[in-house]
Amino acid sequence: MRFIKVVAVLFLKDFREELRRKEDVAASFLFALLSLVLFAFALDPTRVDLNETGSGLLWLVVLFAGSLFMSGSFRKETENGTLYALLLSPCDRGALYVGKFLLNFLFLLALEALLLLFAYLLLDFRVSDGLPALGAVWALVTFGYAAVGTLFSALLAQVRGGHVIFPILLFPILVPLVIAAATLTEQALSPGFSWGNQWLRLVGLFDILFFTASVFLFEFAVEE
Amino acid sequence: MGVIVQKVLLLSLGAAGTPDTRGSLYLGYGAVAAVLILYGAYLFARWRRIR
Amino acid sequence: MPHRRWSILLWSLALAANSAALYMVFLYAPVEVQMGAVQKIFYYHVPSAIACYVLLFLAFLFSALYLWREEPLYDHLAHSAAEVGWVFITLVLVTGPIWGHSAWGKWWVWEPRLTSFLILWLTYSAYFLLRLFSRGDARAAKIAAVVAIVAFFDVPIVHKAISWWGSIVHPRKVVLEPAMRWTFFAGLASVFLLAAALFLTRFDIQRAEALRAEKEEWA
Repeated sequence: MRFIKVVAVLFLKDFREELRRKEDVAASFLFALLSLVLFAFALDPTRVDLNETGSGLLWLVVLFAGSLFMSGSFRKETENGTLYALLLSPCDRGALYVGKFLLNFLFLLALEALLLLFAYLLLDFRVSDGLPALGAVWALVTFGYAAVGTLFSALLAQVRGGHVIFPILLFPILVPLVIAAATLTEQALSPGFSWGNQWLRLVGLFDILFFTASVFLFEFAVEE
Repeated sequence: MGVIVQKVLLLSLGAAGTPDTRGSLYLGYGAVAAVLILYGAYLFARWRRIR
Repeated sequence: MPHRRWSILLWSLALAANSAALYMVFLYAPVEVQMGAVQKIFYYHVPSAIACYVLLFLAFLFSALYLWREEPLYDHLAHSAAEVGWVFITLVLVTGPIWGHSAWGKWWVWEPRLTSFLILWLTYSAYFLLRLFSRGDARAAKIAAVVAIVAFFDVPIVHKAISWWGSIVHPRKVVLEPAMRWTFFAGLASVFLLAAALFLTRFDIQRAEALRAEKEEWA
């Protein structure tokens, strides 16, 4: 299908670009690590067992560091004029969105993997048997996060101070995901995780709804 | 969490046996008035700027 | 000023309805047993919440129409609806804790419905921040429209998520005696008329400003 080919091309272009640039990825990773350290100072791991309270906290770090990366997603394109070039080209606008979405989604997954590693190293946050469940849950939540994040990034790309408003606009929308992430992480790490549970359905609904809406609304976000 | 159904007894205003929370009541409605007045003032200021 | 006659009519009705409702609230409705007089905040608190939903739905509707038609009229309507809606969210968040403080002893408890309104307030405050940051042109209007649509889609999901998360006791169903029911309807009518009057006024101001800006551009 042509659509998939276009998405693949766009995605690979962005992926190579990010690897070449390094600064956005590096900044985000570093910020995540820094946040983790700050949380350790703020919460005193000797008194607080992060295996109990860590679930939601880790997601906050993903939220902040992830938004740092995503907010510049489309802004970069406007700064060197590539966005205009892309819009003028005959490719489907939807493909433009999906390509960028894939990049953000995969970046966030990488960020989360890194974060879990450091949470284990620094704060003894143990995942062990719960890893598959945790992975699945986090992937599901990240999907929704990337979907809305990519749309908002495009929306704010040409707004003065867009970088600043991005989290303020995005985070209230993501509240259901944050609550779900915290709850589901805790559940995934305890025995007897049920795949039919209501939180998974809520996240699934969120993902489908907002991904679909974003593909459709993206058109208006980048129109002149 | 089940549905909590409260049965309310009919009492005349200020009847004995109910806690006197009239202060909070007045504060509540005062706050409503304050918000509406503030918004009204803001609308008025904008209207003035047009002229 | 356009819609002058409608405006005067709405404001007159709103004034009459609110006067009647306030009379009923303070001098007609009975005092509730457990909480005392403060429970009467209910008669404006709940209608404000309902009015909110209506206004935010209208903001969503007008935003969608704007994206479809690109008529600035729809943008003005959406903006006005969102703004007046935001004022009513503020009312809910102000009356809620005042009532709550009296009933719970604390100003805030993470009670599902109030918490949902807090998120709503944050969401639509961001909407206005965005309006502030962007230039008031057609592109800014489109961006705002998309945000209003996304925000409204999120409303039911936020509610569901928060209600599953919160587990604090809050009267879910209240049986109202007749006198209370009448007072509630009076409150509902009053709040709705007030919302309509404010919406119309706000919309007229928005349009007048846009016309003024256009004139200045031509000058």
